[in-house]
Amino acid sequence: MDNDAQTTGSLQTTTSPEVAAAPSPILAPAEATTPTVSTPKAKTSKRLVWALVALIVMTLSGVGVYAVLSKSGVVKTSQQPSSAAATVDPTASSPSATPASSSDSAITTDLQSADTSLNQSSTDQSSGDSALNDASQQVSVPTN
Amino acid sequence: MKYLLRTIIVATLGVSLVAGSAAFAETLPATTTTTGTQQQRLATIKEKGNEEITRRITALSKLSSVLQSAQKLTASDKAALTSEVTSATSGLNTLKVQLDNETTLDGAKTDVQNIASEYRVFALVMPKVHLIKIADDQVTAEIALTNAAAKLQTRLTSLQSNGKDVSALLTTLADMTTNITNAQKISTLVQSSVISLQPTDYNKDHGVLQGYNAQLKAAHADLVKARQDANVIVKGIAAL
Repeated sequence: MDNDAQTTGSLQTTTSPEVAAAPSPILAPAEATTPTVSTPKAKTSKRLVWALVALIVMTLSGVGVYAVLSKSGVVKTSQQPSSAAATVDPTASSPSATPASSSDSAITTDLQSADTSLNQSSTDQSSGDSALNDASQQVSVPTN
Repeated sequence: MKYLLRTIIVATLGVSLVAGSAAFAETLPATTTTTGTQQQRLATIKEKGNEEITRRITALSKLSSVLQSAQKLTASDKAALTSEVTSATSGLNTLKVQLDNETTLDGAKTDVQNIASEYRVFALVMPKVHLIKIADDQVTAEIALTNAAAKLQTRLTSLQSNGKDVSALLTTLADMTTNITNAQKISTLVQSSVISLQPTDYNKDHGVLQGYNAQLKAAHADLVKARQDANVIVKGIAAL
């Protein structure tokens, strides 16, 4: 029946203009009439967002300033402690202001060579001591 | 006839006496009881002497291996010490043959005494090889540290010309150089003094090697200090 009415257009619809313009009964009266007014909960969320933004900006600024200062030598970052004398490498990259020299690797080579010889000397001292002790106990020769 | 008979009897008795004496002599031992003890003593001396020779040849063989595997020993020192060990081994082997062939107590005693006095394997050769080996290790370390000190000097001079304050590091470098020099004096002295020592030197003075080992330990301590100085300088340069 309705289908026929829409196709022909000759019949009046049963829906009045007043009913169509009326607000949806689903919407609350306040939302429908005053959408720009914030509730206390919304205010808190906004403040949180602004606080987070401010925190991020401050952190980024701090990192930037620190990077600039450390690069210019005003601030020195801590270096890794050397575990042994033999492992010090003057050519190792560090945040030092002193640029590496071409002679640094040669110095490292010399010091490593010295370490090897000193270690060998220590080993030979130990084995030499025990050999000398053994020798001193074996010098006698029977002659009778 | 009577004369003939008497002559035969006398001759027969004479022959019997001579033959009997010879037979008696063969049944007795070649030596008396005293001589038998001496034979026993000779055998004992030979046995003990051979044991002593074997102990020394074994020790020399180990020493030869030590010399061949030594990395820091200078070529001339290695050649001299290897020759000495080889010569001593050969001499002891010859002495062993001589001792085995000895027939008198005096000869065997002299051979056994020569095991010690002619070669001085335990008293001189073994300590000598170890002392020279340690001295050569230290000489190698001294050369490396001297090279490093020269390069550090160049580096510090360059930094100083660029306006860096390196006065404290230069003081440390001077200490490093002093420590190296002190060690060098000892190592060189030990090397030159000990390498030429022979068994005859030891026979004249049993204290010819005295003190060298302690001196080398002092030199080692100096080199460790020099190495620590180098560390301080390297870290100081990085921190400038």
